[in-house]
Amino acid sequence: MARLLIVDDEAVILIQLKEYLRDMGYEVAGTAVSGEDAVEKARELNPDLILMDIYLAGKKLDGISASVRIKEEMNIPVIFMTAFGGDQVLERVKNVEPYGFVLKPFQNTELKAAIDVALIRKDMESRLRESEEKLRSVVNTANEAIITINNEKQIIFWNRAAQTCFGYAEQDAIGLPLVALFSEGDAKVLEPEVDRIIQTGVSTILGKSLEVSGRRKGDVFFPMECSLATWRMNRQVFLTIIGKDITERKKIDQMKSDFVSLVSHQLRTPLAGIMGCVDNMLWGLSGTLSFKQMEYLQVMKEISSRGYRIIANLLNISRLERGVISMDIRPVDLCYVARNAVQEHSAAIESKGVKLAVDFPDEEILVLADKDKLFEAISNVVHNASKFTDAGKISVRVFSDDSEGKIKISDTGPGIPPESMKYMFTRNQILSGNATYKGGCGLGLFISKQFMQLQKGDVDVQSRVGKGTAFTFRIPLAQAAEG
Amino acid sequence: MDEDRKPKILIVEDEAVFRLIYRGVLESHNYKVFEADTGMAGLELAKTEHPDLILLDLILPDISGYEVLKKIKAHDLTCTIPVIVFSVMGTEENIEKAKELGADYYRVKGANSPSDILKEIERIIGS
Repeated sequence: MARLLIVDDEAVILIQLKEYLRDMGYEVAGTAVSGEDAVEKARELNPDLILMDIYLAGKKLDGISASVRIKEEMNIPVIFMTAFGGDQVLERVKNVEPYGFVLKPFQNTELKAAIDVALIRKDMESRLRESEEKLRSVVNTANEAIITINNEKQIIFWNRAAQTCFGYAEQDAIGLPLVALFSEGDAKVLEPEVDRIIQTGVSTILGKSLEVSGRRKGDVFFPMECSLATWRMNRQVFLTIIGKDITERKKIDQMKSDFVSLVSHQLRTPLAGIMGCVDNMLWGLSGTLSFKQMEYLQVMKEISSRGYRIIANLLNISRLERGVISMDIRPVDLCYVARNAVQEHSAAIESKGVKLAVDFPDEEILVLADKDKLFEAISNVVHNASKFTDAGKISVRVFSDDSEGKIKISDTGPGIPPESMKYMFTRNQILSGNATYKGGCGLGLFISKQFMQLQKGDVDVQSRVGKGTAFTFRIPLAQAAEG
Repeated sequence: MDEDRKPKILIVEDEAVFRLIYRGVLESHNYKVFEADTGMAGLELAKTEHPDLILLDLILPDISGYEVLKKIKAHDLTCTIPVIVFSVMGTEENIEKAKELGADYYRVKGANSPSDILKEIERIIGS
C-alpha cells in the first residue's frame, strides 16, 4: 500500500483528506502543517508520495520551497494542491518538476487519478534508474576504455577505464575532440574514416580490431588496440570506441621474439659450422673420399640443411608476427628467380627418380617483387613437392597474362585430403598432421603465402587425392604496374 | 705460386670452426690466410698486412663486427680493402646496416656454402 504524507496548514482539510485517502485505499503515514514540518516528516517517514499545499500560512517555507528541499535531499515525488493557479506560481512549480498538480476544490476521483499517475511514474523512473545504474556499473567495471563521440567528433561519454587509459577525468574528457586521443599520424588516418562513418554509416574499419598509437594526457604515447562501432538515436549518429592499452602485451611479444631470434642464431651457428665442414669434405679438401664416405656426408648435408631451413622459418614467422619484414620491391625476372628456386632442389628431385619438367619462356618476365622473398616463397613450395612426390614428375611452368606473372608447380604426389586444405597456408598446418611426417615444421607454406601477399601477389593450391597437387603463384608485372 | 704473390685474405671470426672452414677453402685455392679471433686483432692485422680482402663476422667477443667495419672504412690504410660481412644473422636490418657502414658484400653463413663465398672473393679481387 502506498504511504503518503499530507501537508496543509488547515487542520480541517488535513482531517478530511486523511479520511478520503484511507477510503481510497492509501496509507497516510503522517501529516504536516508547515514547510519546515513537511521537510522533517519527509525525512522521518520516507513516504512514497507527498501531497503538498502551496500556501502555508505564517511560516517562512511555502510548499514550493519545501518541495525543492525534499527533492534535493530525498527525491520524494510531490503533488501540489492549491486554490491559486496564477502564472507566477505555475512558473515556480514547473521548476520543481512536480509529479502532479491539482486545483482546489477537487473531486476525490481527480485526486486519486493524480496520485495513481504519480505512483506509476515514480515506479517507472526508479526502474529506469536501476537499469541505467546496472549499465553504468557494467561499463565502469569494464577493463576496456569505452568512449562515445557525437557527430561533431566530440567525446560525450567516457568510462572509468578510459580515465585510467588516457589520464583525463570524465569532466575534462567530455567535449574533447576524438583526435586528441591519438598520435598525429593515426589521427590523420582515423579522422577521414570517422567522417565517412558519420556521413554514410559505413567504413572498412568498423568492427575491425585496429592497432593504433594512443595519446595520454601530457602527450605520452602508448600502443593501443581498439575497435569502432556506430549506432543511431533520434537520427543522430554516434560512434563508440572500445580500446585498451597493450603496452604489456607488446613487451611480452617483444621478449618472445627476441628469444626466438636469439635461440635461432645460436642454433644456426653450429649448424652452419657442420654444413661448412661437410661442404669442404665433399669438395675434396680433406682428400679423396670413398663412395660410402660421400654417401654419409650427403646425408649429413641434407639433414643439417633441413635443420637450418626450419630455424630460418621460425625466425621468419617471428618476424612476420612482429610485422618487421620489409620488402625490397623492384623489377626482377620471374624466370630467373624461379629457375634458381627449382635448381636448389633439382638434385634431390632427380635422385628420387622423379622427373623434373620445366617450361620457361625464352624472354624474361619482369615482375615487381623482393627477389629474396620471392625466391623463398617458391623454394618452399618446390621443396614440398620434392618431399612428397616419390614417383612420376614435378612440372614447373612460368608464364604471364596482361597484369601478372605466374608460376605453376604441379606434382604427382599423394594429393591433399579436403579436410587438410583449410590448414594449408596457416600456421596451424601442423595440426592437420600431414606436414610433419616428412620432416618439416609445417611453416613453409604459411611463410610462402605471407611473403607473396606482402609483395601484392598470392599463392593458391588445387589438389586431388591420389592425383597430385598444383600450386599457382601470381605476382604483378612491372610493366602493368607502371602503365 | 710464390708465397709473397698470393692474394691475402684476412678472416675476422671468433668461431674456430668457421676459421677452419674458410682457411681450408682459401688455402686450397692459393690464397694466403690471416686469422683474427677478435675485432681489435682484426683491425691490427688489417693495418699491418694490408690484405686484399677481409671476411668479417658480426658477432665478436670484444667489439661488434659493425664497429670493426666502421673503423676499417674510416682508416686511411684500410679504407679501400673490400669487406665481405658473413654472419648467421640474415635479416634485412643486419644486411642494411652492414651495407650502410660500407660492407661490399653480405653473405649469410649456412645459406651460402664456402664455395659460394669463394666465388664471390674471386669475383671481387679478380684472381
